[in-house]
Amino acid sequence: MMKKNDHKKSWIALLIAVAVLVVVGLLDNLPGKIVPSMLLTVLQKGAIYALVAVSMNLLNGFTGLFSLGQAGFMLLGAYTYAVLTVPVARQASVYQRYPGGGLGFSITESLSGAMGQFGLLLGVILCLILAGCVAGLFAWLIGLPVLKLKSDYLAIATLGFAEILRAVVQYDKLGPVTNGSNLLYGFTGFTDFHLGSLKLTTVMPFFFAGLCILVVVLLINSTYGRAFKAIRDDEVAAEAMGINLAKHKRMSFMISSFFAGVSGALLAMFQASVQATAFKAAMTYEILLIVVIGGIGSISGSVIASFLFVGCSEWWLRFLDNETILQNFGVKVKFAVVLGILVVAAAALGLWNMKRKGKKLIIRAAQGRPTVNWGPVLGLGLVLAALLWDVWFVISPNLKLPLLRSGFRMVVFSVVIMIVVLFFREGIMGDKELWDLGKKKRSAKAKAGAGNE
Amino acid sequence: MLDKILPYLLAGISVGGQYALIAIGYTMVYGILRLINFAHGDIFTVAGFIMVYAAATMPLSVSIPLTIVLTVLLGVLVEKVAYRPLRTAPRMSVMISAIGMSYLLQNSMWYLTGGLAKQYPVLPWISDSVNVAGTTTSRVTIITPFLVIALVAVLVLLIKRTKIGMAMRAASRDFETAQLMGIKINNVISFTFVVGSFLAAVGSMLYFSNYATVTPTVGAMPGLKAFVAAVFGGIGSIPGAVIGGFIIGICESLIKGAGLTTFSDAFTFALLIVILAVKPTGLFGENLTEKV
Amino acid sequence: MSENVLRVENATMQFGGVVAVDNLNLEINQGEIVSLIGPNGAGKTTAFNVITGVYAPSNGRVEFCGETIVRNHPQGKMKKLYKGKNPELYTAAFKVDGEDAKEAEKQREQAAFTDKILAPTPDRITKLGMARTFQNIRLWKSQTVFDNILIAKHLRRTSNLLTATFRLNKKEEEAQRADVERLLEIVGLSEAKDELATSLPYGKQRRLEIARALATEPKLLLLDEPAAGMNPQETNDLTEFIGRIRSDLGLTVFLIEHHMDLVMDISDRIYVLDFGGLIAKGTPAEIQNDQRVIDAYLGVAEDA
Repeated sequence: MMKKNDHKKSWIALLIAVAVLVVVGLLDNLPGKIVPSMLLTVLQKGAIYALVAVSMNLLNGFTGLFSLGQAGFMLLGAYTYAVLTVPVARQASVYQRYPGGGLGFSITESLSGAMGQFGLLLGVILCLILAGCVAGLFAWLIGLPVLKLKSDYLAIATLGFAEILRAVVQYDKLGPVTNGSNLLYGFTGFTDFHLGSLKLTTVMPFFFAGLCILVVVLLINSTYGRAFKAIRDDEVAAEAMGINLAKHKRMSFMISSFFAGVSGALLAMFQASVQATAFKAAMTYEILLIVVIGGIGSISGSVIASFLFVGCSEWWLRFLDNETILQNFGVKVKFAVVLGILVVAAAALGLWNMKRKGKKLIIRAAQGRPTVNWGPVLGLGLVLAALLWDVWFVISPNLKLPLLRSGFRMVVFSVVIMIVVLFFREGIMGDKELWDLGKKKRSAKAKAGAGNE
Repeated sequence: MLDKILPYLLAGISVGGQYALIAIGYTMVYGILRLINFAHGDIFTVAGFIMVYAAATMPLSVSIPLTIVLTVLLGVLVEKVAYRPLRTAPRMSVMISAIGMSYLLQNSMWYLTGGLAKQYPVLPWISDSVNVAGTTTSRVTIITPFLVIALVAVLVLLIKRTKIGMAMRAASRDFETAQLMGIKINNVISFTFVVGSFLAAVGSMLYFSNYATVTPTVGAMPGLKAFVAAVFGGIGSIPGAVIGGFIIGICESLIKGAGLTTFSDAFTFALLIVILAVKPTGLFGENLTEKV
Repeated sequence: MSENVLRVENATMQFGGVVAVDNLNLEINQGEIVSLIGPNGAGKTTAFNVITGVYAPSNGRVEFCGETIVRNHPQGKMKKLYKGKNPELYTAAFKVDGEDAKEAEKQREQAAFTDKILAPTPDRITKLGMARTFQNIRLWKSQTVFDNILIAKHLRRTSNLLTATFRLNKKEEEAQRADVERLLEIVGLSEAKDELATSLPYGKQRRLEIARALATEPKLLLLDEPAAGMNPQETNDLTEFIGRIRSDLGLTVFLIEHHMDLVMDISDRIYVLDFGGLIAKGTPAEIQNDQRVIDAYLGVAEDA
């Protein structure tokens, strides 16, 4: 009975996917400087981060396993990919610290030599799968002791495991393969892809990441995905209903790590170089924060949040890092007005959120003195202070924007993240998906259910 | 043989004591809130920076107490801002908030200091060199273990003998019941953060006297290691945290001595995974069974 | 006598120094409804947990449809702490002596070919055909009524990860969904199938939990206080409902309950537990007149 509907949906999804790829391909190939190069960077990196975020969401959001090992598995994937694809001719210079280092062959090079662009694609796909498999294999290994652990112990154990991997990769004795703590570079990247004279630099990460995310979505909506969600909601009940906890947790952990590995490889392709020191715990934290901003348990949320996150950190908030002196008084007034509007909007959003949650500034108890809800009052005070400062700034002769200098972007960024974590805990999408938005009835009921708890 | 090992052993005991001081903060917070306070390592670093800036303009007799007071205030503030609003939220949310807080503190420090390594002020007397059994070392190395043991003794007395200590024990046994019995849980938690941050501040003075420079991310690793120490000793147990701290410090130092510096961090985490696999409750932890 | 479904032998569950279930022996036959009653804290739920594999018993054996599924003897720390009976019955070292030699020999034969412990996880026991509900309802909170039942069909799947992900198991998936619809009909929740499980009223949540257990295709259904928190009307409905699923689905039912009306109405036999030990067993009429049961529930005057 649902068959027809399902078919229709799959066609629409396919159509959208093709349209996205075409648009991205166009952006890649428009002549001149119509398309800012930053946009392409954001799209590429955003797609890759979307895949890691989705892989983390599969584990944290859908299986309820709080793991912080993502950077470690990305590292494995990135290194596997890089080691396998450094061209033979460049191995001597890449591994100059370790004479005779390198594998002596390169999968992508051999295949593209034999079959051109098609061989290149085949080689890259093969290496991406291998990268994922290595990560998955290590996940299996580490899963044996740690998956039995409860939430925060699991988090710290996986975090520790990622650190161990980082140390092992840099180990001198492994140098001939991993190049120790030195850069690996020169391997096949996205820029090597083209169709005739058409560049496919941005299309490829979209293609690979999109394909992987599609598989995750299919998995989550299959009987296995439902079992994962059951484990997340209530482990004891899941086990009592015949779901083998150890097996399913391991499965989820390995799949998540597989895709983390693939995305690590994609990141390597994007950066055109790999170094172990980049895959620190901080990277995992960033991905976790993307998942949180997008909504824990929402794939589309993770994807949206990845592009927003990468866009903000690489592009839109870059200006915060530069010391800026305004040209004249007119620009200053414009700036002040925009700032004022932003501040007022933020305050309005905060008040709206309070109203939604039924909180009040001053709580009048039936008896006794009314108590003040200090948090929001303080927030309103800050808003007022910001507005006053705004006015003062317009009046003052100063043309240099205050606060803006190197590092400010990240401060603003982390403040925004804290606000999301504290006040908008559901993130952008909550645990819903873009394609579920049509089903309003159900979500309204879901809300009523959540309210009952 | 011994004269080769001795310097590493001394360094290990010293750094172990510093880990122990940080680990107590982790273990106490975890005991009550069941939360890994990821920001604790960064509070430790902030203490280092406060000292750098304070000592640049003020005499040590002012800057040391000032550092301690400001660090304690920061610890309490972090709890109020990032953890208190999430008291009834799922544990995962609170942990994410802790990670976000750590991110915020690190980025703020980077912004305020320009990301450069700052020279830690030389604390007279404790930074002096002394000679122990033929090895030269700074006095802080020798003092640390004694200071740690003294502080822990005071802390244990505080927890065992005072009213607030009793409240802390009650809260760590059963948060909700303690609340129902009229314990002002927020005060107890604030006090826990006061103690934890105080010890982190002391630990940071000892640690940076040895390492001389402070950078915004320098606290992340000792923070994580101190947490491992807390887990190793059995989370929630103060003597456990101290013993765990010393064991990890000594092992790490000996591994460095054996020329495997790359693996000194990895070793700590390997130890963590082994202990979690073999005895998840740590050396002195209690077994808790979940009721079905 | 009809076929034996569940047999619990000498099951003892000791936590540290506390004996929660003490040398429990019981058996349940095909098609019966058997109740386990007793005052609060008597060890009823613990007994359930031992049978369903949540806890490995400190000592004893559980047999399901003629096959030993759980077997353990005190070992490690428990060896010294153990306060129960028959500490060596399930070890290879067990020696036969005394008058009951014949009976003991028989038991030994069953147990002694190995002293290996058998303690499968709950999911494996469920797979063998035993499903349960919980005293404090444990539904999957973020799932709809429909999905709650559908997930319980997961263990009977024949698809693997790949075929399920790439939708090569369409037929099975459809069969599962049809089965869920059927179960919803049986428990009368078809109307509510798209609602969140936790938004249902309490009585319906209990029914949903039963439906979920039925979805695992059990031979034996264990219900832990199915009528807890229900009003008399709902309890009546439930009594009728349990009787109906027994006859319609050919189930055997083992339940813990405090509502005596329900227990006396529905049970073929009753076991009474107090302080972990069995104090009586028999038909409802026998139990109602048993002095020890009355004492256990009402208490005994010290000097009586």
